[in-house]
Amino acid sequence: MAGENIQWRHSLQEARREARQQGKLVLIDLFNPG
Amino acid sequence: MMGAVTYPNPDVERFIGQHFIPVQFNVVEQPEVMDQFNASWTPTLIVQDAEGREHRRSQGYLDPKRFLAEMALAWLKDAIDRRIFPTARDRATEALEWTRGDPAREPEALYWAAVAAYKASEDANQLVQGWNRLLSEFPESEWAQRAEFIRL
Repeated sequence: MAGENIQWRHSLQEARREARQQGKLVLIDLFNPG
Repeated sequence: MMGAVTYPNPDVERFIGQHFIPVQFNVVEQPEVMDQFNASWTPTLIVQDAEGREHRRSQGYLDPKRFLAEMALAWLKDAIDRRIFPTARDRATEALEWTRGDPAREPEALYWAAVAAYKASEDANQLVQGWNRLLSEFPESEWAQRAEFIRL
């Protein structure tokens, strides 16, 4: 469901930790595959 | 559609990689995330900082151009919300590029660009000049209405 080169995470806490380390923001995508 | 059209776009992939850690939740498999994020529809895109503070939210499909405009505004708004105005001024330049020609988002970028320029320089003329440009180019926009008091 995503661009092949986008590395989607599936843990919010993990994403926040990476964002903090890298000075980035967290992009949350809530999607329905149907 | 976001997965088929928007996310494979090279500019979208690049912009996400530069500024965001992307996290995705399938709401069929994890319906509880709708309550967790106070969401009512999909797709919902939420931009938060690492501390969980929300800076922007979008509901509904976005094609690549509109997605990039939304994300550029989120990147700008993060700096505005944290009151780091020299950074916001730089991000506003980028937001103006990504929102150009988008009648729903370019006025917002102009509004916040003027705020960032003013607060970074402490020169009120920066605000007046920026908002006058907004009022001239997008006089019917909601964002112009938020700035029109400067002409009273």
